[in-house]
Amino acid sequence: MNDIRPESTSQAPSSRARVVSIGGLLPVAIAVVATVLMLSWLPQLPNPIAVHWNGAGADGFGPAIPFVFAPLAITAVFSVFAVAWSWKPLPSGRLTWNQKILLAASLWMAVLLGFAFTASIALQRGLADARTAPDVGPWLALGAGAGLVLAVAAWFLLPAGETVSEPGTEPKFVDVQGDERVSWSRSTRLGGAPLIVVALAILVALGTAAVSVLAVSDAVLISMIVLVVVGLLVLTNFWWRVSADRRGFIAKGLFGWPRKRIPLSEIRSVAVVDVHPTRDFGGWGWRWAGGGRSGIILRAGSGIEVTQSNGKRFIVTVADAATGAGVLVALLHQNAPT
Amino acid sequence: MLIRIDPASGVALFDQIAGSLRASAIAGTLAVGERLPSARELAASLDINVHTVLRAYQLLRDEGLIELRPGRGAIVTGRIAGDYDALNSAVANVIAEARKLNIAPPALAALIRETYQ
Repeated sequence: MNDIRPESTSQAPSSRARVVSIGGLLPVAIAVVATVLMLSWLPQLPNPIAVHWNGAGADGFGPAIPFVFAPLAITAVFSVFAVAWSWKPLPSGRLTWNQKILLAASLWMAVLLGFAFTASIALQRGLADARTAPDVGPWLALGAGAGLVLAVAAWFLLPAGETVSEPGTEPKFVDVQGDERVSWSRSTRLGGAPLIVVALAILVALGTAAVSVLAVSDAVLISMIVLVVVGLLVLTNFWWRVSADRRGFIAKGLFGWPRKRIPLSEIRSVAVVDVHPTRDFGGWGWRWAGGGRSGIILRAGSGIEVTQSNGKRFIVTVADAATGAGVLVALLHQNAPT
Repeated sequence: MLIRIDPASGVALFDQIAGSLRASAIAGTLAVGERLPSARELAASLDINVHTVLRAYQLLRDEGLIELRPGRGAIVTGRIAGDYDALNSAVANVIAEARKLNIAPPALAALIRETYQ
């Protein structure tokens, strides 16, 4: 992004207006239009209607009303989630990249669902038997494409994306004498609030999957696979052991994987930092932010920031970060040629 | 939790590890429920034999400070009996005094050891 940064913090309200209108009001408005259209066609529909298609044609049937309201319900839930997540822009009025992605996705999903559901209803007008309903596949693709165009436009209309980083404080040396060997380690795990967010996200995914099963064939299998993968990712990111010793700085996941190891010889400097997960990294887990920063972000509060010799910075949030960082600087000092 | 060993100190290594962990428990940096690194992991970290670490863990298990669970490593289950607030603040005072007099940690440790006996 460009280098012009707004100086005042009065940018926040105008950002929020754009967030609410693009990520919340617009998607809901699209869903409302779709719902109204579908409701107006209700008298011309067969009973039951086709609600599910496979490659060969309609193969699932059900009542019209729940089907007609599904896109509005899903869109409303997702929009509220996206707007709530982006409610607090950065002090500069900009958004984190995650917030932008979520808001654009909210719009994309509203268009996709609106198109797919409205088209499938429109195609069934005047049919005596829903079994003869034509395929909705092309409309689904068209909806996805139109959604993408709008989402890209939304991306540019939304406030600029930004990542923040605050300089850390230098750690105090942990006293190491002569031939003494020190080993610091600590387990760190995902805290309470993010767990709720993760649970909510999984619920939204489940709900979306459950309803989209009605419209898309093979969606059950795909959504189950996605959920299993997401579940495994959450598990591997749930619990970590962080250690600092002669081997360097090491973070290891629950199953010994994923793991990250930075040898002492590749450490340029160490700092203790204060981390705000959503603001600085846009969330929890193994995260990448701008400016060559990545990290294992599990909680708000203290973290160890290791700057590697290539300039990249790796951050792990952990209690007692001061001691861990202190051990690292002491070992670096011990290893340094005198 | 911070573990330090000094191969030159003359005290058995497993005793030093156990001592470090006891000290962490007393100072409150090792809370009940905290999982210790596996013996293999800690041995690699300190560049010592895994049996030395296991011996330290077994000693602490017998004292009731930790529990060894096969496959899950060691978990801190007990506290060392007693109220350590007074001792912790006394230790802080001793260290502050030693800093003032420029007494290095090994000298201070030796002084305490001599006086204790």
